[in-house]
Amino acid sequence: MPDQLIHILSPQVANQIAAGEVVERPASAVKELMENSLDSGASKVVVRITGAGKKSIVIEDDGCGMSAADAELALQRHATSKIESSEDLHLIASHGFRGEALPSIASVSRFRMQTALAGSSEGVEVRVDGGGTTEVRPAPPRKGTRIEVLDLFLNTPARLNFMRSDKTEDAAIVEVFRSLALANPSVAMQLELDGRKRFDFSPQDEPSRVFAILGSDFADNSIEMAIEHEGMQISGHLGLPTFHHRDSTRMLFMVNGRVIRDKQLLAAVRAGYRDVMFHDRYPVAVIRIEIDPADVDVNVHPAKREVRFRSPQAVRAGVIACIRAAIEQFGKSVSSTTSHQAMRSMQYGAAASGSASGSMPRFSSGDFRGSSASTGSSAMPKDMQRILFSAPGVAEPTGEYGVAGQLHLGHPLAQIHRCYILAQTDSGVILVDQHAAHERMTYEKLKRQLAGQKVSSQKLLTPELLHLTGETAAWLHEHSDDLHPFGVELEITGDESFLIRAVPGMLVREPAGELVAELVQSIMLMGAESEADGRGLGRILERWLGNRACKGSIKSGRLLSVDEQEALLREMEVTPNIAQCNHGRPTYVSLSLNDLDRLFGRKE
Amino acid sequence: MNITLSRASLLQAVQRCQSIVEKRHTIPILANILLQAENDTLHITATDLEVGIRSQAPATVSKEGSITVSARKLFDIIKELDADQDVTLESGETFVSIRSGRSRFRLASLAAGEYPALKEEQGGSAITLSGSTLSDMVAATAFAMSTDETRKYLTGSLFEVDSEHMLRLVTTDGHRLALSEVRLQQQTEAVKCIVPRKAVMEIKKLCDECQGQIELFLGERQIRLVADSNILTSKLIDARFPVYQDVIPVNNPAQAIVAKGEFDQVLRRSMIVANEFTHDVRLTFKEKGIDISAHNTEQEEAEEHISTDYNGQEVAIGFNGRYLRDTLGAIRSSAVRIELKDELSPVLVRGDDDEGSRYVIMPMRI
Repeated sequence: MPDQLIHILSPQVANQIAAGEVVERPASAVKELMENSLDSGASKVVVRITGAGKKSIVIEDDGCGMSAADAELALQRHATSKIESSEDLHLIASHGFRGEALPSIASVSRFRMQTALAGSSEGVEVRVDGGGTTEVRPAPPRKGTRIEVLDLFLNTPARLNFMRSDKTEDAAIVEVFRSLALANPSVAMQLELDGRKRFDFSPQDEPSRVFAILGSDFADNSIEMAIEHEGMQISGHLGLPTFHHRDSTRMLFMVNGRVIRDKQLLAAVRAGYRDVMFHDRYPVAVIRIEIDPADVDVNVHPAKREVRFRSPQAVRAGVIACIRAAIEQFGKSVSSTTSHQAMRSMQYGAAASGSASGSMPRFSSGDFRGSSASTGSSAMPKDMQRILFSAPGVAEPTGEYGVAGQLHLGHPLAQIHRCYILAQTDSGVILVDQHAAHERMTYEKLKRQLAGQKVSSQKLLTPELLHLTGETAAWLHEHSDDLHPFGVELEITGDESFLIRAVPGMLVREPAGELVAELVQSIMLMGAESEADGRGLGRILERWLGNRACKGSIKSGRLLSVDEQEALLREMEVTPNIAQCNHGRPTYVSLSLNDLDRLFGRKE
Repeated sequence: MNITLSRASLLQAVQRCQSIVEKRHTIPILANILLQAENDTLHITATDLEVGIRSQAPATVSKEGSITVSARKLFDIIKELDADQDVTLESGETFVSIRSGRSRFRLASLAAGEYPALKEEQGGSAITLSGSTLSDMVAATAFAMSTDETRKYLTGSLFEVDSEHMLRLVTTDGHRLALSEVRLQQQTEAVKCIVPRKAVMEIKKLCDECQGQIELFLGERQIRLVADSNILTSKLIDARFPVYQDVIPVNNPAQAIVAKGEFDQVLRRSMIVANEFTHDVRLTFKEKGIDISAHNTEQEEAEEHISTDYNGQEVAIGFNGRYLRDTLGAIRSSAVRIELKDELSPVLVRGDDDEGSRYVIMPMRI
């Protein structure tokens, strides 16, 4: 019997354990290897996948390559060229740094690497089978590195058993590829799945790459915005509010060139769009944050999908500021997708509402159809009824914005079915949804009225119990005073229980618990200042109030005189965010003479 | 079923019942009322499964039987029939025919057997009091019931009998509270329950109609009112009412007495320019009287003064003006007494010569 129960694990086992963290599925191996290629300064990266990556993953780059000695060392754990000391850990600018990827992957696959140091006349081939001995042999010189990963997870059957379907794994690989392509527009990138070319990007400027990935629809329906916020550069391509998606996968974030996923940033984007979007729809946006590497910790997640900011609130506030700046600009435009959909439905009738009309945000790769074809029409049939047409001209990404009052809605011709107003403009016709438009006008007027007002607070006779959990409760213990400016008074009665002592005076008829819980969430996410937005009443409260105010809006079905119609159009022209009602539906659509000509076959 | 009866008594009975029927119900038969003819009487029953009512009208019954028919349509038809003509109701297989003078209607019907039976809970405390007293108590308190469905226990009225034989009705929406009480003439055990809003309003209607005494049974799960030949039953809200005793201030040091009519008129005027969302008005109590002011988001203002005696420190209190006016509307005395402590503590309001009702209003921080 051995004397010692505790012993150091063999490097092979240690690598397999690390592989569990770093390489959980083929997509993570692809990610690690692609990042290595990008870190090596490659100008072109080619990825070929067979059998959802379980059979083989081949990655070729034209980067700086490695010498024979380096190539062998690279397969040792914690061997890396990217950092040297722990100080460097705080200033990470490269993708990889942990020195775990290669040995981890090599320990769970048959691993082949051919490389040569740039300019050197000899190359090297390294082979490792399932984490066994590393064979190194000379090879002809080449430009860059080629890595082949065969039979991934061959010696970890459990992992293999837990793989999802090939389709799912392929989708995950595409996701990884797309993220990296987005972050590195100047690098040519190719992805082949089972011999079929899925993506082939030439080196591009940043906007072209974004649109190549998110589709040309996105180009027509987004604008660029860049701001500086507390030393950070925040820029993005932000989709119009009417150009939305059914889930959060079309919101992409890059922090210092690294694509990350961060729940709080997602929430911040949704918060930024809150005023102008359906509550169950998600914006489409690509947001880049350039921040001092010392202010962000990337060494949080083994696969580096998450980062931690020194001041998360500042980052979120910056993102929100960026989106709001954009919303101010595109305040008056309606997405052109709606017009295209409408043109189609008018020309071909109901038959057009098949997969072709799913042209809300969709990636340019056609193979996504299977999963996202239903995006547009079937998800929101009611909208489709509303959306008839809109002029593509209105939604050009740049140029038409800026000066207020540039919107011209023309003069009313008639009210249709007591629901819509038909107006003629210089270049075509416009249909206005009178209820939606008035709803937005009422809400904006309300916001103006409340600007700078002190929020009065109704004391409660019988305090109401509020139960919050975990992080929120802990936060509230330290910040309950932050709620005072919003008219809410709380008393802390336990770790997770609070008593609401007073509620905002204008919302006394609303369920207090729900209201306060939402307010707390929002302030925690964005900070009291950002929530108040310098306007006294917080955005959350405005929205609650707005929902109530909407009930006083002109209803569909009310007859409007010509004067009333005219007045409505003129007021629309000067109302901020008029293109959408408070729930994100378009308030008006326009049809240009060109569109009309096309409709009647006078033009192609 | 085949019966003939006077239009007036039929209309009254149907009217009583049809207000119980929910207009939008997913169970079709609940849009109907149940008609049962026996022993020279037409019994009419309506329910929404929460509240049920059973009423009757004298009739000449030539053939006994029972049937259900749309409450809304029956009521609308009877209402429009010639007032002097008797009405004959006769049931067929799947319809009911209504005849009056030269009018003849045929309405679709559903079988009586499918109509949910009203269950009467046995036991509970029985109380007898005059219908007008109970009606007054409801009138004095109903306004403060909440409409917030997330706090179900506030959406009804507390009916409570304590060990001193006081019957007490209490309502609150969390911001203000109304209480009305009366000493019962008989010995009754202590009991309390929360009666949902709809039943409270129906109780008031039946009490208003009733000239004499009514009987009230307060049970575990049900409240039952017997007024003349009408019986109303309602499920109770299964929750605990807040401990209201603690929030009624007992020793507020300062007090002012104002004429109700004048006070209400001043508030009504001031509130024209009060903030349309918060309805807040500021009351400044001072030695010579009360200054009342209001302003809105457009900086429009109102200032008023009421002369009266006030015995406390000068204090300025913000109120939701609607809460004040609701309270004044429920008070029957011509003068009201306002008892207060400071600008953030609960304020007690009551009719000057009325010990039966008390109102508490929480101030606003403005």
